[in-house]
Amino acid sequence: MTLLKAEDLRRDYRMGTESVHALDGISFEVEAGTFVSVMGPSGSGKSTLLHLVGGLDRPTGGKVLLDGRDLAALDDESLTTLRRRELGFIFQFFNLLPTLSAWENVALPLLLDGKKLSDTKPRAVGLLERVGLGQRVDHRPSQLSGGEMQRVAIARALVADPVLLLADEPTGNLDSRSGEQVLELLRSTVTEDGKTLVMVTHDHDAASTGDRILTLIDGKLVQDDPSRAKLSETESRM
Amino acid sequence: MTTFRVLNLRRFFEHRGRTALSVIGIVIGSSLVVAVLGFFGTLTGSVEGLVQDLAGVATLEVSAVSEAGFDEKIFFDVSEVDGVKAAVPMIRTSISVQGDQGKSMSVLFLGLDQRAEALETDLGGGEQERLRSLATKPGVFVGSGLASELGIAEGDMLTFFGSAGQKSLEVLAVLGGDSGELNQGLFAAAVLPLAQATSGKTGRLDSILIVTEEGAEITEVQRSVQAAAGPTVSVDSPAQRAEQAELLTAGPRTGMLRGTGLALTVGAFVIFNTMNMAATERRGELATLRALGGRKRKLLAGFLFEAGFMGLIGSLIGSLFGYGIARELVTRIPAFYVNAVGVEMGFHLPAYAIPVALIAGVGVSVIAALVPGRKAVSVSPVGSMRPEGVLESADQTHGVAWVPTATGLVGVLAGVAMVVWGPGDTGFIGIAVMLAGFIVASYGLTYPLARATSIVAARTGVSGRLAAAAIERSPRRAWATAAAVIVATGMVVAQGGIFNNVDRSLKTIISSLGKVDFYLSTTTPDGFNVDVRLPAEWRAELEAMPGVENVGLNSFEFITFENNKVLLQGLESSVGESPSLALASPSARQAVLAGEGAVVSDRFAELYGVGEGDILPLPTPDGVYEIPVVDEVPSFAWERGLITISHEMLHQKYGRSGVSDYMITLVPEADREDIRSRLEAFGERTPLPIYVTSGTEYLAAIYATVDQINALFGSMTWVVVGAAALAIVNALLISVVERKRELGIMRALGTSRKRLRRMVSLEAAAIGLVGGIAGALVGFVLHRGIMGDVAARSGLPINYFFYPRPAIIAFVVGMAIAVAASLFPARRAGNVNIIEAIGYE
Ligand SMILES: Nc1ncnc2c1ncn2[C@@H]1O[C@H](COP(=O)(O)OP(=O)(O)O)[C@@H](O)[C@H]1O
Ligand SMILES: [Mg+2]
Repeated sequence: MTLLKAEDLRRDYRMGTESVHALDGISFEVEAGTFVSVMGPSGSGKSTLLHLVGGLDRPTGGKVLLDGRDLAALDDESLTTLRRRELGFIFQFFNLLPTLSAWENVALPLLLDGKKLSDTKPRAVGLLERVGLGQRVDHRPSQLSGGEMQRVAIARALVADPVLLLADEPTGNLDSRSGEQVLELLRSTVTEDGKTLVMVTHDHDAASTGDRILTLIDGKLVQDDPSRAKLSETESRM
Repeated sequence: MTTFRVLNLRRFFEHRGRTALSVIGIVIGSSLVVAVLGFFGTLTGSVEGLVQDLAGVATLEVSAVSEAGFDEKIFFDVSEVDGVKAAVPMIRTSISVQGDQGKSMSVLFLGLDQRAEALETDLGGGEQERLRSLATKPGVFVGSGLASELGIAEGDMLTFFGSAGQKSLEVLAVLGGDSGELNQGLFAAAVLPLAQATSGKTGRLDSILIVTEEGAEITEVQRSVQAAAGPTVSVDSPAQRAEQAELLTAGPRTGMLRGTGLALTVGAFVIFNTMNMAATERRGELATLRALGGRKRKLLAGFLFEAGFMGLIGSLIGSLFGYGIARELVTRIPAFYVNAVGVEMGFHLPAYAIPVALIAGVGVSVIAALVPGRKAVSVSPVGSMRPEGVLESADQTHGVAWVPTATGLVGVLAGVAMVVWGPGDTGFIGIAVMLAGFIVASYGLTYPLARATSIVAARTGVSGRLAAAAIERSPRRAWATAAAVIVATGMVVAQGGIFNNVDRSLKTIISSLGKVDFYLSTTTPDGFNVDVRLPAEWRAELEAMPGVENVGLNSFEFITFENNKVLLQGLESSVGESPSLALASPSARQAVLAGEGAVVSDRFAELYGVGEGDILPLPTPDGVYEIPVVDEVPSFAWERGLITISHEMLHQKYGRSGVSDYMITLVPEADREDIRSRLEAFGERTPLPIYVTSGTEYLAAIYATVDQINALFGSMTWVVVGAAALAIVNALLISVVERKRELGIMRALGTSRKRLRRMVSLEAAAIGLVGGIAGALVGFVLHRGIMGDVAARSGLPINYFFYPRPAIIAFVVGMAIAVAASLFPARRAGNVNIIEAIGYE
């Protein structure tokens, strides 16, 4: 089943009189339950693509279809609800709220959805255990390492049980060991929870954790390949 | 929803210091609300309380037009009128009384008889039988307050000083319970004939309370009673006394409410400033919340809830302070007010005072947070993805933002128009609108202001150029700081100008009081003691004293004129020492002294439409006496109006002998010290306190009273200046925190701590300079605008003069607070930890 579809996506930025084509006509489809990596050099438009897919920004041209719905047809209010209930974001700098404890940070999307704090605690704590932070539920972000913070952020992305996870350079700010742990965790959300994941990275090794790699250069999709992992998987099956 | 807000509130406890700074404005504003309402509630509530306690079921009251009372024969005419069920004659006056331990004081003195039972009051509190039997002996009943003040008990003797001389009476009983609490327990009562004799009003009454027949048309009865009683009395509802008291305080009350409104406007600005900072500071966080699917409305509600919570904390603390201030103010109610209403002040905080303060505090805070809140939640969720955090809002126009500038200027003009042409009560709103207009207009001028500031900063060397760059990069923050300086300096300049004008007008008008060498009086210069007079016989003795050139006479009486308490002054003077004659034309002065005319104050002419060339219908105990008004003069003496006639006429028409003040001038070579001690020796002839004051002391005492009022308002201004300084600390601290990374990089590149500190201080100094200049201009306009209103509201003859001196002070103050406020943030900037700042989290 096709979960996500981009058709001739364009995004221009006006810089004074000049216009930058950050995305220059991109089309692709993502099947539900797959892990797609988006690769490319810095400035190639990866983040821009993720913003459009996540309904954070609107395209200059083309369409994003999520589950058959055109995001352009949704008003700000509906897009907000969509982000809250159907999407999970994972950021490069974790973006945890410093005044909240780990479990409260995890519960945040549910709180934003009107749930009571006490009702959300079991699920938040359960997810923290799932990401291996059962011992850290009451810690503040400032008391956690980078890798731990990113795992809290992953738990937060999962809390509302979204269909699609979007991650922008989730390992970009981590040491290699923590990075690996985070990648493993992300992989498991696809394999174990059946989520669909789109991950932006400029790191080749990270990208190959995915099932498929989209490569962007100068706002254009130049390559769309199964990853080495996927290849070896298929090979071994044959 | 609720949960989310509770989490929001956690921030307060993590930024306790900053929260405290932000709410100071609200604390001040709401404490003034409670203080002012409590103070004026006491002034009028005490009078209302006494009216209710005394009048009971009475619906009409016949009252005298002066302290001299009216002829008791009127009682029979009145009691016969159709619709009058019962009529209760009364003596109700103030009298000086001395206990046998020597202490004396002025108290309410009542004369009643059995007819008072028709009022169904609980005077006597169930003990009527016992009191009635006691009252067969000559003697007085006293309230518990008076008993404890003078240290007296049943059986002791009390000396009363009525206008017909002194009289000693035995205390028959000290009244306890509710009736003993009448007028704070400060009263004495006797049976009617005895009370009449004691107060010097034999054959006269102060009041007749009337209980009307059920179903009778009260206005109808009122008309008939007035017709029966004749023109020497006024007939009105008993509550009229409370209304009179309220009119007396209306001027100062509106004045102080205006000050309160101004303080709340400044409080709103401080909250606005804080929430604006918070909005800037939390852009990243809000972008994340938006990306996670937080709805704008919900985030805005959280933001407003925070502001409202701050307002609530502020106004709760403020209410507590305000309660304390009100209690303190009540102990300092000027003697002349208590004299004028003849009622002891008991603290009355109106039930609505604290709710009003809380609603005002919360409302003002929420409104102030609305604009920054909307701006904050409209941050793009894309911002959450950017490694460098969210940029300054996208609308980087570099010119004047015309919408807020124009709106602000329209606000200023509307404010000026409201003050100048609007009805009296909108004057304050006008001033608040004016101030808000200035703030909004300066917001529109953010970029030019920031530009001006950065140009100033850039002229001060390398650190200055760095400071200039910082200012240009976040003009909003520069605006917030500059606006705080503008508000503070504007207040200093406006207030300095107003004080100067009040002082100057007062000094011009009352300076002639200083011509007198000595005053021999029954009261201090700030009081009008109408109960007690000095013996008239002293005059000859004083005139015969060697070294004395001239003895002038001055007495006061309160009369009821068109339902207002008007001050009536009787003068005999040959040197023009009293302002009302000193300022009148020579021919008018002669006419007054000859008993052929009256001089009225400008305010009197304005209030009642009786001025120069008109005939004044002067109410006297024997009916209306028509006298031509020969001049109008400015006067500070009495807001409800002053009438000056000759001393002889006052004595004849109002039937009381004696003199309030002897005004003594000396020959040039007289020995002043010797004369002073001889004057003081007069005090030994009477148990009552008398006061000897030199002309200079007399003026100084009046100036001191005015200075005290000025100091009260002045301290409000300085608190605002303090709050502005705190707002600046807040803004600069956030600026340092936001630029931590940049500062760290500069340190890593070899910039010295000292230079970073200099940079922050120069940023502040430049803002202080520009804000100080703009603030002085704002202050001049505010001064002009407020002055007219102060004069109109207070009824005082205050004129506007341009007065630039405070601008210099304000200018220095603006710079000083900006630089002082920058010291702590500058130290923080200098101490940035390089490693921490340039590494990510
Ligand atoms: N808000 C913006 N304004 C102007 N140009 C932008 C903006 N965001 C991104 N760009 C430009 O669009 C291009 C793509 O950016 P981005 O999607 O962030 O690249 P990547 O994530 O691949 O590094 C770059 O040239 C970048 O400078
Ligand atoms: Mg990127």
